[in-house]
Amino acid sequence: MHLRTAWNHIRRSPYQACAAILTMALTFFVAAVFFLAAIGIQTILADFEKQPQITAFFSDIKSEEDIRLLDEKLKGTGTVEKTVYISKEDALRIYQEQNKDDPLLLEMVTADILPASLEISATDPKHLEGLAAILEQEPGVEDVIYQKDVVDRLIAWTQVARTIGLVLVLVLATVSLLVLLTVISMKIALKREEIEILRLLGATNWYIRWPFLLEGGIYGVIAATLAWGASFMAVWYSLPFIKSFLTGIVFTGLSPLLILTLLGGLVAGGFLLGVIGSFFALVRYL
Amino acid sequence: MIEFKNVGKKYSGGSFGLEKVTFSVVPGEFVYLIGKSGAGKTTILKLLIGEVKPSSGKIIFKGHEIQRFSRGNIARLRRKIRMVFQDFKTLFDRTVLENVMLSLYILGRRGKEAEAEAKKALKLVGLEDKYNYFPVQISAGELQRVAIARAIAGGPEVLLADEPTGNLDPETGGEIITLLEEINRDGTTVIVTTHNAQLVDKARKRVIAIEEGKIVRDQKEGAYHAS
Ligand SMILES: Nc1ncnc2c1ncn2[C@@H]1O[C@H](COP(=O)(O)OP(=O)(O)O)[C@@H](O)[C@H]1O
Ligand SMILES: [Mg+2]
Repeated sequence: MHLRTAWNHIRRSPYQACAAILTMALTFFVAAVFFLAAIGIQTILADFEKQPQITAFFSDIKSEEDIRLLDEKLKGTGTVEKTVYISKEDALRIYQEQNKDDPLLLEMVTADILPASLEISATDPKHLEGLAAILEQEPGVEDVIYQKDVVDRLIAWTQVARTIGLVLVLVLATVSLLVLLTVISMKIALKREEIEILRLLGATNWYIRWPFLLEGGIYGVIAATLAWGASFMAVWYSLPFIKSFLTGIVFTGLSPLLILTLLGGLVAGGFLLGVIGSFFALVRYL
Repeated sequence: MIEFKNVGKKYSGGSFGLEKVTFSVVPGEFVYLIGKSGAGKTTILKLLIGEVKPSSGKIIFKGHEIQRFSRGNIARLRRKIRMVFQDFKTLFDRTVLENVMLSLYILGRRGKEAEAEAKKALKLVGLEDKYNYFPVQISAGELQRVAIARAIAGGPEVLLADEPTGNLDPETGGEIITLLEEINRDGTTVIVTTHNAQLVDKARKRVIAIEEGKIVRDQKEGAYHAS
């Protein structure tokens, strides 16, 4: 009943409805993209944390026997949890696995040009420096990579991105709330006479309010659904690009559960934002 | 059923409004409120639906003091005491049928049920062939009937009609009065304001005359002018 009245309100002023829906959809779209990005980064971080914390790459002068001795020396410090030796052939296998869709890249690479490496997990991150010092003094060690550095930088970036996202979403939410307030206020003004008549015929305040609240809610739900669709389109189209950028990381993020959770969250958020916007207008003008 | 006890109303402009108005109406009665323009007739009706609050005195409906009602109770009161406004207050972007359905929706009627009751009310006022007309497409007399249909749809206990013959030619005015008398015969208490002497004289109903906010005469089977 109230829903029908709300629907009639919307139908009679499609342009205002569009303005409200589009600004809200933009807000939700940005929120959704930042949310998905956060989840993506979380996955990447988790992946990094599973990986060894320090990796030493060897030049070809280093024999397997040398590396075995080095391995023992490292373990002798008592700060190493485990090590994994990756020979040139292992490296090629990993490379082939990561680039199995790209024959051109596969052709270009042979085991010869890939370095052998030792992945070392420390019992505690604070021992990493000592281990790195040993490695750097060792002849035949070409490069030492701290995963910690990468993770730290990633976390810092995440922090920045999260702040930007939050501020952006807050600003957009305020704007859409204001647009909604304006649209609903205009409708209340246009319906002054009708509202007055309804009151004289015995309508309660809530009888008059419900359609407006639902109208705001409907705007929110439509906007949320649009934003949801758009954000997945955006992720879908940019995923191959992101994947090529971050080889070796398995994306398990886009599960159906996540997709539905996001839809549910957006729709609930949209409905709430819409109802709140209308409510402010009603408090102000009714 | 309805009781005014020493009701006074002072409008902020300083005009007199009403002074010590006392009268009562029993269920099923038909009452004419008569008096010159500005005498206070509309004010009495507005007090009865809680649109105007009295400055002094009590207005009682079925034992409850209306002037003390909360907004919610006033809303409920207006579903029992329905008013036909002098300016009709119909919505011009709705059809005749939709206008009548407004008051039924407020009573909680839905869909087919609301439509059937609205059609019944419109049939009673003689507009069964104008359901889908818009208010601009019908005459003043027909618009008055729409306003009456909207007020009686759903069966109120009291019907208030503010100058229902004011804008009409004598013949159409007479038809409206006949209609109101029919509604009264079906059990609804009816209070009508008018300054149409001819119709009042013909009706021989109770007459309450008001002058400058005071009741000057209250007569059973009265005429427009004091005899
Ligand atoms: N809202 C108002 N504000 C100030 N004065 C009013 C208002 N409504 C009515 N009045 C005054 O109260 C008196 C009675 O008005 P009303 O009840 O409308 O008379 P009637 O219906 O008999 O013509 C008039 O003098 C009118 O000017
Ligand atoms: Mg009047």
